Amino acid sequence: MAFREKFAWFMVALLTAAAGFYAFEVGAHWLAVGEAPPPSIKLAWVYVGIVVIGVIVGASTLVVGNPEEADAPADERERRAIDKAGNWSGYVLAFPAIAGVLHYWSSMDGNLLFHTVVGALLACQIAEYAFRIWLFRRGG
Amino acid sequence: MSYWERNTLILLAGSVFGAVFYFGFVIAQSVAAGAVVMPQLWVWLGYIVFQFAVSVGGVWLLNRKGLAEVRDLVGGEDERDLVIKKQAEARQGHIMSALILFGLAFWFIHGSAALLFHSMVAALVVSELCRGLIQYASYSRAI
Repeated sequence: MAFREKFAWFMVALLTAAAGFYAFEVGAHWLAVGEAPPPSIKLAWVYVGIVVIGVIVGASTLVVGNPEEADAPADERERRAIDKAGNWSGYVLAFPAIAGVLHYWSSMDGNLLFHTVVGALLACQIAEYAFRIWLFRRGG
Repeated sequence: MSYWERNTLILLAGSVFGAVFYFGFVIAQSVAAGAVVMPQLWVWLGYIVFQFAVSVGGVWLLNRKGLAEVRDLVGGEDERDLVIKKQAEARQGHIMSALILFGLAFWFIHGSAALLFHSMVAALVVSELCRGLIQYASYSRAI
């Protein structure tokens, strides 16, 4: 398996775990209060901390195992796959974000808008790496 | 200037006019009210109609003269056009993510739902403008 595919698998696993943690915390709070809870800056920092530390540890481990491959620039096929994945993940972000913005008029709930957009952002990050894996395997 | 360069410029102009219309109203109303105004459906719809009208009208005019240039190409685009478009759209996704992230982070400072709403709209609009600019700039680069 190529270095970039390994890294994409790692990112999918890390981001899914971090997003799962975030969603569980917000969901539990939501059920407890019966409505969209106010955003928590503490939770946001914990999420960022998990991702940053995870990326540093994971990327360093992968680079130590494949130093030459990690240093090599992406070839044309990989660049095309990365561009396509970035393009598609933009839609994964834009559609729920626009839906959240439109739904705001009926709910007038800023907390719900915040959580919808955060959900879209988390889904977009995971989708980008998942699309990369699919495109690397498909051949660009 | 090629067909797709002109097409990109027209769509960019549509986005600029739409953005000026939307944020012009929001800023003018907010200054008059002395606070950030709540989102208004008619301003949002006005933005979409404005952008749509400028883009569709412009492309219609362009197609009257320039369509022959790309008629023989599959999908109207050659390989370079496709690469440029895909790259610009990929950058747009990343710019949108970054701007949305900034908008969400600022919520913790201002706590205003109306400002969160407008910052989300700004993220969508600015990323669309950046896509157009990147795509247009890419036509003058060796790709």
